[in-house]
Amino acid sequence: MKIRSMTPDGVDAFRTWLNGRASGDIPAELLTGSKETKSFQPALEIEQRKFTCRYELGQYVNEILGPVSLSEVPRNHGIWSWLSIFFFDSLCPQNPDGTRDPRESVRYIWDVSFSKYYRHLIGHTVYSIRLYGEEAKPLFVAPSKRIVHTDYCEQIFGYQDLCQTVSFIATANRLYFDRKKNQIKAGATPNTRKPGTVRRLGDVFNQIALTFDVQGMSPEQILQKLPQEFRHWIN
Amino acid sequence: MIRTLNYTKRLTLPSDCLRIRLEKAGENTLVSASELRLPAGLPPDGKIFLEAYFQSLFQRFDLGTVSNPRMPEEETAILREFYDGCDVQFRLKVVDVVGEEGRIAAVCVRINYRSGDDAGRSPLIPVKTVGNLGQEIWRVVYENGFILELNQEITNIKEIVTRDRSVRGVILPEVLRAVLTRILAENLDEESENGYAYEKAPNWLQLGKAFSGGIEPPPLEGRDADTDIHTWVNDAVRGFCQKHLFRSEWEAERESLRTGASERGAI
Repeated sequence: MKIRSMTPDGVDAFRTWLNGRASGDIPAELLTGSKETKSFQPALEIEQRKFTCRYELGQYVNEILGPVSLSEVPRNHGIWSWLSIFFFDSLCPQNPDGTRDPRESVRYIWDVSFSKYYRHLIGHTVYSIRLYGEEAKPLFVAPSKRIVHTDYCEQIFGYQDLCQTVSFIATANRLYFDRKKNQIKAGATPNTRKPGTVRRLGDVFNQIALTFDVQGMSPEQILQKLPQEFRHWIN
Repeated sequence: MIRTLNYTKRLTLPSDCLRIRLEKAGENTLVSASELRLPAGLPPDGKIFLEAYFQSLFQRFDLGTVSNPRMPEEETAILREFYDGCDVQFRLKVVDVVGEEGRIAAVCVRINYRSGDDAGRSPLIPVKTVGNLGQEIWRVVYENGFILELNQEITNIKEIVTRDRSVRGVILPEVLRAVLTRILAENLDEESENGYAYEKAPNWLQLGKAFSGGIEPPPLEGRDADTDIHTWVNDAVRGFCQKHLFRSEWEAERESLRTGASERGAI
C-alpha cells in the first residue's frame, strides 16, 4: 500500500476513535478516506509485517522513508498518525473479544510538547534511529516482545538537554543495556533517584556537562568521570 | 543570589557575543554568523563551537579557534534536520583543548538571533501555531522559555487571539496567570552564574509588579505556593484585566455582534 498522510479531520476522527477505546477493526476511512487522508510525496510503498519490538518497527519505517529527510516530515506532519493507524494492530492488538487497550493518544498522534514528544511509538523511533544510529536500539527494546514505550526511554528523554548528546545515550547504554539478553538490566529505572540508576545518571551528567564539553567526549571518557555509584553497572 | 560553584573559572558570555541570522535559501535554512565578540584571557587554541538545538535535535558548527575564528561557509551553514516551526535555539562554547581535555572555558547558554521573517524583536512570549492539538484551542508550554501554542487548524487563529477583543480578554489573562505562577512555583527566577533559570523571568515579574500596583513578587526564599504566589498572581491578573478593560471590551464586542445580527434580521 502507498503511504498516505492524515488530514486534520482524519486526526480528529482518529482521536475520537481512540477515546472510544478503539474497539473492533480499524476504520477503513482513516487509512484511505478522501476527507481523512491525502497522498504523500514521494510515493512510497509500505506493507504489514510482524515486529517483535519498537526498534524493529522503527527500522522498517526508517528504511521505507529513506529518501525523505526529517525536515520534510516534522513531528506534526500527518504521515505519523497515518503510520500509527496503518500499524495499529501491531501497536495495540485486538483482544480475543474484539476490544483493545489503547494507551494515551500521544503514543499514536504526535504531541510536539517537550514532555510528550518522545512517546510517539513510530515517529520518535524513526527520529532517534536517524539521530543516534545503533545507540537508539536499547531505547526501544523490551523483554515483553511487544511495541511499548519503556521506562528507560521515558527517563532518558526526560533530560531534554542531555538527549541532544549522543554520548549521554551511549554512556547510559554502556551502563544499563545487557547486550546478551537484549534488554535493559533489572533495577536500572526505578522512579526514585537511587544511586547509580538512570535518573541519577541524568543529574550527574548535567553536572559534568557544566564543566566539560560532553558533546566532544566519547562514552569511555565520560564513564571515567562518573562517581563510584555507577561502577557496578559497567559490563 | 549566586548559589553555584565555579572552580574551573568558566566565563559566562553575553547573549550578544555572536550575531546570528537565519536565512532561507530555497529548501534550506542557512545560519549566518558574524561579529564574534570574545573577552580577553581565553586560551588561544580554545575551540569555538556554535550549537543549534531543539528538544532532541542538535547540530554543531565549528567556528575555529580563539586565535583564528572562522564563520561557517555557505555549504557548511545549513541547518539540517530542524523543521520549519520548531523553536531552534543557539549556544556558544569555547572549549580548552590544550589544558584539561574538553574543559569549557566560556559559554553563552542562549544567543539572541534574528530570522528573515522577524524584525529582531524578542517577544515576552512567542506565539506559535502548531498541529495535533485536537480540540484544544490554545495552551502555554515551557521549552527553554514560555510559548503560547495555538491550534493551527483554526483559520487565522493567531490574528483572532491577538486582535479579536472578545477572545483576547478570555485567553490572555490566563496566559499571564499560568506564566507567573509557574515562574514563582518552580523558582525560574533563581539567579546563578549563568543568569536566571529562565532569562525572561525578571521581565515577567516586573510586568506582574506593575499590574499588581507596585507590589514586589514574593521572595525566592520561603514563598508559599498556596498563599503568597496565589495572592500576588491574582492581583497581577486583576490589574492586567483592569488596564485593558477586558470585560468592557467583551461586552462592547457582544453588543456590536447583537446589533449587527438585528440589523441583518431587519433586512
